[in-house]
Amino acid sequence: MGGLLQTLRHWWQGPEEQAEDAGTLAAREAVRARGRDFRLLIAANSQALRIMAELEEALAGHEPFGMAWLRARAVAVSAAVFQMIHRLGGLAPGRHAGLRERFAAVNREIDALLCPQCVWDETPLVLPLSEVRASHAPNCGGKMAMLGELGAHGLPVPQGFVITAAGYRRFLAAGDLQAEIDRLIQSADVERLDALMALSSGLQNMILAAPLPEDLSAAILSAYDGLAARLSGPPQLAVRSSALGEDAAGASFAGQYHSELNVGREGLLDSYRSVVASKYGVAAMAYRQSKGLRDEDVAMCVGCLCMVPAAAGGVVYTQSPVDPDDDALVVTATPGLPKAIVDGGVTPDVFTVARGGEADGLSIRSREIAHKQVRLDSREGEGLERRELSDAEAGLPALDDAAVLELAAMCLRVEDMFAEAQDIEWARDAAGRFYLLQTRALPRQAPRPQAAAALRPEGVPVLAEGGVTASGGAAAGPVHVVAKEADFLTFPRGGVLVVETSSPRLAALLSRASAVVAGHGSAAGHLASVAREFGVPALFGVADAPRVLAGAGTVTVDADGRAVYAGSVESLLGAGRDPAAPPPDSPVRRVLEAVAGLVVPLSLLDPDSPEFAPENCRTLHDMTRYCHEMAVREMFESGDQAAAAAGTGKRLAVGRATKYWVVDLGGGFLREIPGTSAPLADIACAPMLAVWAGMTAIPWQGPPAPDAKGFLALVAQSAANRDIEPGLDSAFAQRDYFLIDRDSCTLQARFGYHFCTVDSHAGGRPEENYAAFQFKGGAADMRRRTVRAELVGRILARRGFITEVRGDALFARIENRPREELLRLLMVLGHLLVHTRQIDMVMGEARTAAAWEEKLDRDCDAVAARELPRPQRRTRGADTAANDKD
Amino acid sequence: MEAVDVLLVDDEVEALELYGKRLARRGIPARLARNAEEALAEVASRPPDVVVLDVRMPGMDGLTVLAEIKRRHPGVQVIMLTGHASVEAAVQGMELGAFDYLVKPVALEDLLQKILDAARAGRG
Repeated sequence: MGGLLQTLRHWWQGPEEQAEDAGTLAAREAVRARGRDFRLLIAANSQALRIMAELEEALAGHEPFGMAWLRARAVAVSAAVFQMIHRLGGLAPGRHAGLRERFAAVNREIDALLCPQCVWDETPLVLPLSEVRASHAPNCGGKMAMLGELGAHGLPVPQGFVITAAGYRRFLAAGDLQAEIDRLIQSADVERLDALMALSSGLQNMILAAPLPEDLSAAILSAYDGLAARLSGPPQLAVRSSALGEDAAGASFAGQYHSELNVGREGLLDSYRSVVASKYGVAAMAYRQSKGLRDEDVAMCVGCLCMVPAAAGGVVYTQSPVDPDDDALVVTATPGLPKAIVDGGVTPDVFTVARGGEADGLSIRSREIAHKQVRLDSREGEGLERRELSDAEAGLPALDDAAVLELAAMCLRVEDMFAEAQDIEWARDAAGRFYLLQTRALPRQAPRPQAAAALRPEGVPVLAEGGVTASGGAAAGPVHVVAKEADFLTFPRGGVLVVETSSPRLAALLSRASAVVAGHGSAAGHLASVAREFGVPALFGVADAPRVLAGAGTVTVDADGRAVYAGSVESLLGAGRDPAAPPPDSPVRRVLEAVAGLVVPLSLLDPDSPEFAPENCRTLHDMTRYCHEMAVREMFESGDQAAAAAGTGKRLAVGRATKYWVVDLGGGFLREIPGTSAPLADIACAPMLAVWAGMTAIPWQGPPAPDAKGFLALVAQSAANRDIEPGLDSAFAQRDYFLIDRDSCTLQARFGYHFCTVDSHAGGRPEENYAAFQFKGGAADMRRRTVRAELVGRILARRGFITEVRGDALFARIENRPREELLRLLMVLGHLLVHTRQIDMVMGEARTAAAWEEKLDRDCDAVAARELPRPQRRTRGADTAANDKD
Repeated sequence: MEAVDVLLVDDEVEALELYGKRLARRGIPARLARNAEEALAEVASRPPDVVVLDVRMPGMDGLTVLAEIKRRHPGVQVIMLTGHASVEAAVQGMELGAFDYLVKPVALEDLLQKILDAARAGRG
């Protein structure tokens, strides 16, 4: 019917009238297109600002993050800024020259910070250990560099060679392996343990299956053959990790990478691949992430050392690892290879050697001879074998006193060389010769407020006691026994990890655990080292721990007092551990700071100054400011008459002119409105009417009387805080405006000292309906502004909004509601916009804040219950009244 | 009411199926395509509201697919989703008409919201 009448009308009208219609239609479509561009620009601006808030949060150290997160955020904010530039180009084609060039320039700088380093060096693929020194650490890894240095100083180390970082890069460059690794890492959500495990497995399998380039294989085998020629026959080797970044300050990586022992020529290349693949073990990846180390900075160098046929082996700490005041050496020893100790499988003999005694000034202060049940030795051919010890063997000391003192003296020389406490792995052959297999700096635990020997709390059931303090402190959490792989995936954050053996694999869980209890192990094992680094209390050697503690629920582990209690014992618990954000001086952190420096700072301040130009945009934030300001000018400038009539802003009039402007993007007005004023009665947009009704339902009583502190804070902040008068808004950007069509409304406004955006759609299809609210700023100090943001967030969360508070910024969103419900929520938002004005000034006292929250909540309920404003009936202009089809 | 019609395109089948299942549980049943040819065939047979498109695929790459889709069906909104963190690709994508460019990892909620925003923009 409509179509027939339309046809008749066109037939009735002459060509000039039809042309006029076409012209008007074209003008309207042009306005719609401008409106779309403007809307998308505003949305991209919100997105960019939100991502900047995330970067600021990460800088403040409240959130853990890694390189993948940082790259994703950097690209997201750049994409949002580009969207703004693109849309500004749609609004004002050919103007704003130089903006794209500035964008490209800033992004080149960001790219340079984020892209993996490609450092190609000319050093050999393989180096003999005898030529390696400490200065070779960047090409041989810390472990081998230190070992080479020991050898150069005349200390006994095994012979061998190092497959260097150059060799590693050679391996990964072949067949685009590195590019594929980078892509898989970027795509994975490594916060989830199951995703991390899947990624780890995928990466390791890829490396294990990759062929070695010929020149690398040849160099490795040639080094082996050279070693065999110098010795009396082909040696068996220990193939050990020596990664860059391993053993760097504060990062021991103890036990995180793979080593293979007793390897012959045939198995050497496979063992090399295994050790390289272990870079992507779950524990190693989790460890790197929590230490803020970048994957691309860690090259896996591999040391190939002659096996020592060990009659005994162990670890020496040249000072106590748990008691910062005790400088006695701790010597652990077990029959056979030291691997049995470092892997946490056995409880070793422990000797403490005091300084300032008899021979060499050393004397044995204590001996704890353990009942050792197994020993590890090299098997005939390749690999290792476990042998159970007889009762008689089990009780024998692995070292006699003279040997202990000889070893201690040797280790003190190592400590002197490096001028700090050392963690030294050693072996002794059947002839009584000692060999040093590894040395690294020993991280010492910081002094803790609670003394080493804590008092037993009264009346609290003790579930287990004894063992050794592997890492000091006390913590509480729910017991979670890990006996098999699947138990990893169900480990809860803050859980108490309970295991039989203190295997280094468990380090992957340490960033999630509050404490660790193990049936076996010692302070000398890898897991103990990592627990100390993370500050996780750990008690090892607690007999039968999994059986005793299974099902115990929440327990308190007192590692210093060597006991586990039922429940949460407040008297033992100190301050909580900091969230696992990357340490302040870590490589990832430094990249974040540099990237944030190109994104977040705002230097383009005064839009009326001649300096407000694309060439002066130094950061992405400057560009968002520029684009927003220019876009608003485009929308509010009177260009040609058609645009002035239909597409630009009109001042909202409610009896009198208000400070608000309205831009109709199509269907927002009930009729064509001439002139520059838009009466409220002519608004067809229901969401706008709802917001307006909420804003005006209860008159604002003026700013709350600040407390004295609040007032002083305002004075101080006004003088110093650029956010309060952000960028000296121009006459254009100061306009508060509604962008509307029939069912959608976007409000950008400044209320007092804070900025708000309300964005919504409320149409007939609930699935398309949403309301989004963004709110930032204020006059008071950051703490009060944050309290206000959180308060408003809670009020909205109670009404079904998903909310996020970042500093003093609140982001809230609700989706998928029927039209009427959404309109009522918009009334609530309107009310909150106006009535949270300046209440940050009184957020200093918790009671006052609570009272305000209660009042606002009540008032929001009252406003939402009011009658919904409805658009009046749509009318046509007088000249089309005759054609009204209604 | 008609749901948002979404087409997911990715050569990593596991990721594709996972996203598909998760979106379906949120009331957005998605069609799946494992490569450029399948994607273009799906779009030709019934243009979706939104395409979520991987940038790096063997054969015809994502940007070429994007250009083709926008050429034949300008109203279809395309969101690029990729593990390849590259501003250059993002810029190229948006100049070709992509609605947005997301770098993995992306939380499902964020992806969902982006899909709904794109659908609205397409209908608006």
